[in-house]
Amino acid sequence: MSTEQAIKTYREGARITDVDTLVVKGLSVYYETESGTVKAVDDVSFTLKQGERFALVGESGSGKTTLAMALMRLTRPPGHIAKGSIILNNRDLTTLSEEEMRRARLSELALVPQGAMNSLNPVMRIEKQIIDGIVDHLDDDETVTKDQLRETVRDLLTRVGLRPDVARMFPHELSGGMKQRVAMAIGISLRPKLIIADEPTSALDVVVQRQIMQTLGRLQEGLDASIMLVGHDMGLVAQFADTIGVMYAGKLVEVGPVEEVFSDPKHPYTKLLIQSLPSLQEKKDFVGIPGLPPLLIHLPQGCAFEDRCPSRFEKCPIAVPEMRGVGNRREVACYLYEDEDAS
Amino acid sequence: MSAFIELDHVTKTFGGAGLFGGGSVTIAVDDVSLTIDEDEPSITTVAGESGSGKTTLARLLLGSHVPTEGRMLYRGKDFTKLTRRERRTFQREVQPIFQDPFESYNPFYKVDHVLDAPIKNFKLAGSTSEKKRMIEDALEMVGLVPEETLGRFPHQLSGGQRQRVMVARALLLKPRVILADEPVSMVDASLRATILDSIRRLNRDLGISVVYITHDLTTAYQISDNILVMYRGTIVEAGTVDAVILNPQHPYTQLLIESIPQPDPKNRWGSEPPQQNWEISDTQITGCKFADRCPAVMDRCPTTRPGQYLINPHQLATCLLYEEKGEMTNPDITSTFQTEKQALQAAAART
Repeated sequence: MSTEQAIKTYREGARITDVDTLVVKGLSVYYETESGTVKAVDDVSFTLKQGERFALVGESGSGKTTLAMALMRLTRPPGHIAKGSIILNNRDLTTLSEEEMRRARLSELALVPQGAMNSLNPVMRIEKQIIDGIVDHLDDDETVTKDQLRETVRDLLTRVGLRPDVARMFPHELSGGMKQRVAMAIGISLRPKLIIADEPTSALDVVVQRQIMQTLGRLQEGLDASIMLVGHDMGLVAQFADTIGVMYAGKLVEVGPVEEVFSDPKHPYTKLLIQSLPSLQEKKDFVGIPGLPPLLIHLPQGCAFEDRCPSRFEKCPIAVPEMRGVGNRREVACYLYEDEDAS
Repeated sequence: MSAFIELDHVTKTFGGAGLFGGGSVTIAVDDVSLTIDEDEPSITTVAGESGSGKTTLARLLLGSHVPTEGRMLYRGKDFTKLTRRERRTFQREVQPIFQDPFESYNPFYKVDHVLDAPIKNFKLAGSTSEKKRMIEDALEMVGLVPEETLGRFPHQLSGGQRQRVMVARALLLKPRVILADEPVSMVDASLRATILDSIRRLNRDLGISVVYITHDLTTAYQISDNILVMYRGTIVEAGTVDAVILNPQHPYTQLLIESIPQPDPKNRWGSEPPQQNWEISDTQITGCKFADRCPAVMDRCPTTRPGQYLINPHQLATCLLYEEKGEMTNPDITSTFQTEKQALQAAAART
């Protein structure tokens, strides 16, 4: 089956090929603390095709940022990758040395961080901050002239929608949206095949947010790269992504094409999440999801969502449900779908 | 109808003075007239992007900014001429709720502290048992269980609970008006609902007027009666929330609404809109401030300042497209507003 059929998307200009850019298998990130092991990310598996936009959603504390950091191999102690593999373009990142990983960052996979305003050096001109990353990845025998670098910076700034003279400015002279654009320019400077964008617009206004997301999308299409968007804004996901993964308490509980997950969510958590979204179509009473997620250090024996779930039954508290296929590229970890044919 | 707080042609500018008087001037609020009414409590949204002046407008209403031009009136009296006692009453009657439910707490004190302090400050309770009862009532009013909330430290509560404690704190003072500046922007989507719901109940059950400052038009549509949209200090559109959000007239409001990330993958954004040009300073603009980005711009727009034109009894737009409607005789933008009660009465009268 060709992927054009496998990934249905309403996105115009989408070029999704059958090449697996990223294959994450059984990835677990644990934090060893005095009071026990915190399973921040537990046994997560998913695949990103080339050109695909995958969105990872979940509430704060669900492990989505921990997962993004683990893909970059930037997990800090006491956290560590306990199990699993991260295969980017047929190379397992978990087996790379620190030096190999350092070279892979930016050139093969790049992070556009949350709150870009805080990720720039306040006392360094924008130009220097962009050049630093490029120079750092040059091979020993490679030489680039200052003029070439300046030209590259100008080109990058234009591509992210900034004027070239922003190069000579300092971060405090830029607005929040402009700083986020600089962070994107750094992110794409070495033409990575995977861009991880962690809540890239969480502090920005709607119009700026839309401009940034559309610029990011344009850049990604230009590079034929894949994107993993991490966030909790379901509206943004609906606008931007091709596929969605929903995380709850460190586990991936549902994956599927974004149109289908929104129109027909399977997991009770996804259902409640989508129901709780306010819309402009109708005025309705606000419904939240009652209760709170479990503490990751005391995870229940069964499904982590069980105590908040309106559809729970006898089986749920006994063992953690596994992810299982429920139709075209759709997976869900819930006993309600145990009997469905994994077509 | 009695005006509780009134802004009368208020302008607030920043900068410009400088050592040599050469700094650029930011016009944060540009000639705004509006009224917050006491008899007809309503929820009013102030919407706009960052830099639109919405927080400055809120600070003017709180009395923490003094207008550069025009007057702010509290119960009909010029705010700058209030006696100490009147000012103290004002401080009790108008309560702010801020954006960040983390920064409003001292992490070393239990949450009880933020609830005790206003009672002590304003000597609201005669005895310890009365104080306890007041605190418990206020917590229950916002949907919190007192036993699960009191005696805890801020970090032991979720962001949503912390923000609701702040709403409870405001409630203790029996305010007439609550100014909520982006109260849910730092809270998870699943918890937003509970906070907005408690704010709405304050309005419905306790008759408190709420000014909801936000850039999120979806929640604004869900909870408020009326809305005003700001762009670079000017109110570009105002009216009832149904009129403005479902049928926006000003090209800027249209852009804002189109840009809302709707949770519907089949209904995606159109092409990327142009960026705001911050290079042109506020004082250099002689015409419409939105002219440089406006898809409907006309030859006259960059040089002619639009007035407030009444499109229908419940909607105004500051845009030359509607010039033939004639300028509003009453500059008070809240004259287009309607409370839910009034809307129902009007609907009943029609049938």
